[in-house]
Amino acid sequence: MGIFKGRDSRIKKGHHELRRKLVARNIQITLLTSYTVVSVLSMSLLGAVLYRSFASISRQVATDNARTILSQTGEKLEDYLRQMRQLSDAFYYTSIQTSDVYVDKIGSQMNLLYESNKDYVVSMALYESNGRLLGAAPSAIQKKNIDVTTQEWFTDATGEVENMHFSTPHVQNLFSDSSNRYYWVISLSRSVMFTRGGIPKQGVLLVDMDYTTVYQMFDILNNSLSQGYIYLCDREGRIIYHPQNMQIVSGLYEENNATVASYSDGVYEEKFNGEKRIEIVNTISYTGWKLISVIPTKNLSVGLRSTRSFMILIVLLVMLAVLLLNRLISARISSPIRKLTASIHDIEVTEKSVPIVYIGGSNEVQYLGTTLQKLLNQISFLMGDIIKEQEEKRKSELDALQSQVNPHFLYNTLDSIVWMVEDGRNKEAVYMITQLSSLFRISLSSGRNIIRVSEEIKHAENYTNIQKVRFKDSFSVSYDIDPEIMDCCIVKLVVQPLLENAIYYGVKGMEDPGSIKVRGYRKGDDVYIEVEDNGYGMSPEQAEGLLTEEGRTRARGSGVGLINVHRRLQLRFGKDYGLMIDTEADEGTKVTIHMPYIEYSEESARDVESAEYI
Amino acid sequence: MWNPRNIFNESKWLAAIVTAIVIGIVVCAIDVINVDGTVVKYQISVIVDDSNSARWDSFQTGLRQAARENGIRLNYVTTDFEGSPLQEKNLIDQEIENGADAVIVQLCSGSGGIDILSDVPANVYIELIDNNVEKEELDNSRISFIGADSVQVSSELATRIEQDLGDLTGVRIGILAGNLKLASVQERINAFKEVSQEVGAQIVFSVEATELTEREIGELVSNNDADILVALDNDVTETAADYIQMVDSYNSYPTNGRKNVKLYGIGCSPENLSDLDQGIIGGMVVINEYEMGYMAINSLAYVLKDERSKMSDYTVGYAYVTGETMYDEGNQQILFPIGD
Repeated sequence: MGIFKGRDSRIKKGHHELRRKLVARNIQITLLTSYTVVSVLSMSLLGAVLYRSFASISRQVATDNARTILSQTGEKLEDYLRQMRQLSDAFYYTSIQTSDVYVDKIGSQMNLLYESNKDYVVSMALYESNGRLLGAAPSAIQKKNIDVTTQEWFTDATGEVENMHFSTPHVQNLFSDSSNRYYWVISLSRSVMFTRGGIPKQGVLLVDMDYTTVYQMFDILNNSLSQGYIYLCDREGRIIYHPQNMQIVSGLYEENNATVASYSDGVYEEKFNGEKRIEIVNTISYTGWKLISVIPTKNLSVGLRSTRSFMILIVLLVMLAVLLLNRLISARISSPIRKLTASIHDIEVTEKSVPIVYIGGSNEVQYLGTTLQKLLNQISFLMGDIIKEQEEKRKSELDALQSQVNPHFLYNTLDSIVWMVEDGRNKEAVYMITQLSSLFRISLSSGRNIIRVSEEIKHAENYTNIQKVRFKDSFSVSYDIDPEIMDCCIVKLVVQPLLENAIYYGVKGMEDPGSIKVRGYRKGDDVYIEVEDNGYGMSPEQAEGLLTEEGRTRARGSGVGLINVHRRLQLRFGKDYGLMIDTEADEGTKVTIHMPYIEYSEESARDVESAEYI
Repeated sequence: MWNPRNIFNESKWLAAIVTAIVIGIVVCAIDVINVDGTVVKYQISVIVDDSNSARWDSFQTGLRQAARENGIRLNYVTTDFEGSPLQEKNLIDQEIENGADAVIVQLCSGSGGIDILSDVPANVYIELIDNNVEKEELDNSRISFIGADSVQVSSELATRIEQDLGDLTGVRIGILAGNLKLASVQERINAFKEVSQEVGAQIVFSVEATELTEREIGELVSNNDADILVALDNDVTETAADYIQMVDSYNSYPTNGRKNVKLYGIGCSPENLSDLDQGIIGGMVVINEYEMGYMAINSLAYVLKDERSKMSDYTVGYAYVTGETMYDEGNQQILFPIGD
């Protein structure tokens, strides 16, 4: 059971695999395979049916031809045998019965008949019932010590006196021949009544027919046959003629003549010595001889072999043509679908670009293409909306984050102002409040996110002024801004975080006086604003992580550090712009803002805000 | 756009199927051409001594029958080289030069046969009849032998003579042999001597009689007082029969004291059969030469048509016949073959 279960599961798996492969085929292969399988099966079936039909007809034709030939041969043989019987009758009724052998020269009358039939007859002879020769033609000397009464033809004639008897072929053993010739004959013998000296006596009339006549008749016939052969045997099955008679005698060939002799006329199919064959039997009248046509079925198939090869050749040629034609048709039918498939293969839909889908072919495929194109357009549109929305949301978050004032900064600044007031340093307190006021004013900027560089620098100065007071001028800040860029657009509050980092993580706590340099300049179409300190600096590895999401947590600094500034710049100006960090441990850090030069106007500020320059 | 050139590129299996179909087309086309085309007709030459002799009638009938059945072009060479190995070799070479694919040869010399066959090209098949050679010395797998077993034939003759006479004790037998250089003749002599001497016969002489005249035979009979002459070769049997006939009819030649010399032999010619019929020859072993001729061609046709098959020796049948039995249904077919 377990084995069968395993086998079933393997079969199911195999079927599943096959089904999967079939399903996975492309439409052209499916069409081609279907057409081809149907065509090949149809043609193979047609070829097989035609071949079987042809083979059957060939067999029938061969059998009919053999029957016809057999019938004609039988008639010819019967004519010959009738002629011989008539010869015997003629001699018997016209010479023997009307003569007295004692008085008349029976030999001369016999010679006359022999001369007129010597093409078919070897000899004629009349014997007494005791075997004594009364006359023979042609004249010949009988062999010494010959006892004809023991020969088969004689015993047959005397045994059944009312009939004529045809012997099987044998070598004539009657007369001496000085030239050592021998004659194959068929003996026609009959019992006769003759008169000798007025006394009626019984004797035997012998007509030795030339066997070569029969032999040649059949030999010529057999040479003309291509599929089989014809042989002749008597009613006991003894062979009279067979094309392979010598081989049979020598034991080199076998024939089922003994069996066939009992068959009545008709067509028989049987197996003899492992060979299938068709045997057609025709009985010769009077003698009861059997004329048999043998057609080995393998000979029929020899004739059919070329036909079979030819038919297979035709089927293969048609198969090839059908295969190529099917390939053309399937390619033509599947072409639009393949083009459609190719047009959407590896497509990338963005909010700005929509691939062009193939629209063509049949109505169905056109409809499919059109629908798909619409779908892609819709996807692109929706993607644009979503991206825009996400961008807005992100900008808002970043800007909101950036706009937040560090509470510690505010607390510390206000605390410093309180101490200044309490100490009576009112002038300094007023300065601090003024700077703080200006800082907040610019921070608000009437809700704008894009401001002039001059405003951003002012904001930075406010911030550094406050910090310098708080840190009791422990560091210096210098500004070197090219006036050319003062009217340029910049994202709000991008310099202050750099200054904050420079102060808190650069120069704060240094033994030597800290120095922060802010430099702004234009280079071609780009604007650079550098914030450089001479503080602790950092390793290149630390610097690399400052502008990445992963590195932000590792690097020192606030949560709204450099990466936010970097992103805000890229959101407005594109990926080519942002921050560049150049630092070295114990040497200081230079952070550079890189942005395009865009002259400030309300319109350009709005464009930058909506990232139109990207 | 669909490109017709891509028709095979897209699927390897399609190319494989097309290739298979094309191969099938080629195979079928070749088969159709081969079936309907002309069949190769091989040529086989036959070289036997005194080829026009009637003794070869039966052999020729067998040759022709087999040639016709196998579609062989048969060249029966007219010869009369009278035992000359040189002439025989020249004839073989000439036939091979004329395009014979195989040659059926009756060697006329014993050890000389090795020399004749050693020069035969390796692509020509040789079928030896009647006389065999030691093929191991030739190292040629394309040579084989067809003939009767000489030992069995002679033994059969000796046994039948004993049955015919009842008792051979003290009977004086003279042996007339063929070419003593031939191994088969030596085998016949030795086998006959062995069997006849076992039953008490006395071999009074054993000579090569190919060149002997009737008178010389008579002198041998007379000098040795032989009771029986045994001729172990067709031609020798004919000569011996002539001697017997002349003695019986005309007392022309010397004979034994009782004037009752009997003759037994091995042969197949019409002359021998006639002498057998007339009682001049008491009994004769007839080798089935039809079978020899038929099987010689058949065997060669088989190896010519299928190079992979190998030649092998074949032993033909024989029959002992007397004047009384020669017209029996079984014997007359072999003694008097029907055919073209």
